[in-house]
Amino acid sequence: MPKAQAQAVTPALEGPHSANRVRFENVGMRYGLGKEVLRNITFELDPGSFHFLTGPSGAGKTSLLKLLYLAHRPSRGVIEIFGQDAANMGRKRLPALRRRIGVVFQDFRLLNHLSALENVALPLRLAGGKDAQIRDHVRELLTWVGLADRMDATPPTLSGGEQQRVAIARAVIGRPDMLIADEPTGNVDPQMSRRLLHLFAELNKIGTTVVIATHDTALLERVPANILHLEDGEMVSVPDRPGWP
Amino acid sequence: MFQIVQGGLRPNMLKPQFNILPEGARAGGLLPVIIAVMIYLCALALFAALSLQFGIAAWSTNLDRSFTVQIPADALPKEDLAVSVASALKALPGIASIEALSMEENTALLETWLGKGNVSADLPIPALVDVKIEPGSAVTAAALQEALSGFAGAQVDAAGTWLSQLRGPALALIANAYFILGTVLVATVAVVIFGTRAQLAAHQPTIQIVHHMGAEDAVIAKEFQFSFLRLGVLGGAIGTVLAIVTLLIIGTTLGEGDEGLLSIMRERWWAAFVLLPLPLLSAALTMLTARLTVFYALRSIP
Repeated sequence: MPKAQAQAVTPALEGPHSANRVRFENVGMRYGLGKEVLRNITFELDPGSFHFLTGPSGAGKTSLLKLLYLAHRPSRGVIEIFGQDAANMGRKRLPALRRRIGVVFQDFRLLNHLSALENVALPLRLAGGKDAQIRDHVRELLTWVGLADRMDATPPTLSGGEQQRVAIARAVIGRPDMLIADEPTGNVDPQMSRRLLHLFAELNKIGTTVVIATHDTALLERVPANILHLEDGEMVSVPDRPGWP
Repeated sequence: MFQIVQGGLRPNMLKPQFNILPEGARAGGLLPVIIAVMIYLCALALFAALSLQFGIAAWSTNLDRSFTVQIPADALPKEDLAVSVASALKALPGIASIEALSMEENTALLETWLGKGNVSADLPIPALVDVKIEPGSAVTAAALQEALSGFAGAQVDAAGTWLSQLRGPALALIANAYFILGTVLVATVAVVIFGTRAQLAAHQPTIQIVHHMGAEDAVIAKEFQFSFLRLGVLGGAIGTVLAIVTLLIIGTTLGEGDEGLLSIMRERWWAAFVLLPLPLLSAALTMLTARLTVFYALRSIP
């Protein structure tokens, strides 16, 4: 399995791809006045790259994802998302940046009063999409993830696996520049897991940077990707032993 | 199916076009009732303030140029004296009108206070001459008194003197009415802030999801502000209608004999319709308050 380690920090990229680069440099993060849960995080994600984020429970994976999808500010360091200083960016400019990022939450976070169709359409609505286009795209994607007959169902009436597929469809519908997924294959059968990975890979092929936090070693075996490994809030070299993380 | 609940508005103005918040969980409950009560009190306070203000202004315009010449009750024949006084003053420059009141008119004035039929014949009633000077005229009470030096006991009273004594309490009442209006408006704003915060707290998970998906603060605020706009219109309409009904009842049931400050309100009961735009103002107030509350609350989310 190719386990390319996260790239070392390099000077700012120049050229057409630099606009979609993601860069962390000496980033620290804390909740409130507590101790830092992430320390000296430094890595760089090239546009269109595919990464797994691994590490034991409590290592800081979710916190790192929060920084990536701009739900939290770092306590120190530099965060550059798509070439923009996200750590110090004003609140008014953040929504536009967030709309370029698709997120699959571990607990799905679907809106229970909306149908599957409306949940998946939400990012396109927020981006100002046109009704007809939105409808066609959303139907097509929901059909692709096997939910053609469940489009009008609300999340409480869907199974865990179906909810997860809706959450993934919502994250990818806008063809984001970066897709972040927290344990995206946790609730689906192996066949659907392969289909979803294929979907992520297809998105990755058209230039989407993919970051997947996972404990699923089988997933790591199947997809050739870079690995970001966290241990106790710090990014460390990928352990070279069987069965990790 | 896909429900476009706010279709028909400009494209992309209201994104997303389905409701982010559940329809049944929006602001409601007792809030329209509270807003209705607040707007009702506002309307009464506003009407009281405006009618007093206009009443005092009208009194000032009419009475600042008015004088009354009083001829003692024991002067005989006092009605003839009154006519003579009127003739004497008519020759002065700056006099707009002079009217010697008949004894029937004097009796009618007293009946306002003593009640109809209660003015007995043996009551010593002075004769009165009503004098009005032209606008801008420099005629004073002293000048009039001097002109009447030949009429023993004739006394000139300037209406402006007692008007100025009345103006102080009236202005205090107007100030109180506006203070009550302001207090009720502040209370209304506080209620709307409280309601908005409660809604924000109830739907915090939903708001955070949409926020992290890239929803602008304005998009989230719209979900709340239109909800509170409806409440403002509803509560404002109920409160205003109740206030107008109350004022109409006051206007039509106050007896003709009632005088003083209430009579000002009675005379201007029709001005209750000035309150008709209040529901719109109520809607604007609740909508703006909810919007600003949401904006303020969202600042705590990175």
